[in-house]
Formats: sequence, C-alpha cells, structure tokens
Amino acid sequence: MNLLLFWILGMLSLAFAIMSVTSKNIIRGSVWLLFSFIGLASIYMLIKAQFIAIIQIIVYGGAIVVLYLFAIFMLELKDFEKEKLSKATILAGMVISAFTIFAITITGSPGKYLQGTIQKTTGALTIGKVMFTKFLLPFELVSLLLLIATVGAIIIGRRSG
Amino acid sequence: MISPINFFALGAMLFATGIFGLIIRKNLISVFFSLEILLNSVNVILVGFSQRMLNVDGQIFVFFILAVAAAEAAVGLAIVVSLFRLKGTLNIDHFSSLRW
Repeated sequence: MNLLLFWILGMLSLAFAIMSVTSKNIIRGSVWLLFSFIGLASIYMLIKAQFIAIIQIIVYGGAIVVLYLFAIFMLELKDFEKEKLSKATILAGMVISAFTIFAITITGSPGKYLQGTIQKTTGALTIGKVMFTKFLLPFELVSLLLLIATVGAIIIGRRSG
Repeated sequence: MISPINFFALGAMLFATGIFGLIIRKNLISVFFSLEILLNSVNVILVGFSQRMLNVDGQIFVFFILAVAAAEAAVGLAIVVSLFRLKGTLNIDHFSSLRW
C-alpha cells in the first residue's frame, strides 16, 4: 500500500517535472515545477520525513518558484514562444538521459550499505539536536553563504554603476 | 518499509528528466528549472536512504542542499536579469562570447 502510494506520487511529480521541462510557456512551466515539488513533499511526508516535507514546501514552493515567477514578470519576454527545438537535440537528450538512468540504477542500487548509528528519524526535535551539535559549523557557514548570495544578487542585479 | 531500489529508480528518473531539459531547452529560465529538478532528484535519494537506514544525517544534508539551491536561484536570477538587460533575449544561443 505504501509502495503503491509512493509510486503514484512519484509518477505524478515525474510527470509534472517532464511537463515543466518541455512546456514552451515558461510561466506554465514554473507552475508545473511547483506541482512537482509539492508531489515530492508529499512523498517525504509519506515516508515520515515531515520536517523536510514542510521545508520543501516553504523553500521551494514559497520562495524559489515565486522568485522565478517574479523574475519572469520583470522581464519582457516576447520571443519565448518561438523557441525551436531540433530533432537531433531531442534525440541526443533522450539518449543521454536514458544512459543516466542506466548508470545510476546499475551502479547504485545493488550492494551492501553501511549502517551508521541508529536513531529516531522523524520530527524536528531529532533533526535539530543533530544539526546544532554535529553539524553546527556547516549550519553557521550556510547562514554566511546565504548572506553572501543575497549581497551578490543585489550587486549583480542593480542597474549599471 | 519501502526498499532503497525504489528511491534509486525515482531519483534516477527525475535526474534524467533534468538532464533532458538541460540539453534540449534554449531558454535560460527553463535551464534553471532543469537544475532545480536535478537538485531535487538527489534530495529524494538522500531522504529515502535516511529513513531506510534510520540515520538522520541524510535529512540534514537535504537541508543544506535546500539552502544552496535558494542561494543559487537568487544569484542565478540576478544574472539572468542583468543578461537580459545586456542582450535583450534569453536564448542561450546568443550568449556565446565565452565559447572557444
């Protein structure tokens, strides 16, 4: 039952991802991307990773997709409807992505996995405990990274000068 | 309990979708959508394994990947906006000054 639900949600988000990648209208594409992210968040919810599911919706759905939509609205795009795709490029893309599926599934799936320390994996409490002890330095560095990215985005995006 | 092969299969298919979009699209913003799909495919595998192996480290990696993705989107979109001001188009065929 869980497996069936997993694959229904997975196929749904895969279909939305494909639609977002192939749709000519990029505004529709970004909305399909949002649906794909929500599908992935429901998969995380299904396998009881609630914290990541909620963060996924807040960050991807609430921040990144909206940021894309604002950027699209600020650009006056006239020529995005007449984007030409050649048959050879599509064929090359299909071959390379089929090879990617093959490579990842062949090299990754079999074999034994090393087991780390067994712990509870649901809820924000367990994640917070590990994040503020074992991963404290990376956490602080990520805040620095976000600050630098914000400053960089403002400097790159401002009008000449 | 869902076995790891399922997470691998879904992650691989999402990754292939991202690669496909990265190759075929000419619009810079669609290329960014493909990049986000690539990042998400890795997140699926990390969260799945974290739940399967009962170790929370994978989910913390996903948290950091989300932060990096947000930074990438902000800086990338700033670059897109200034490129559009410079060239008046978003077709990646017009951005070939640095090509060999």
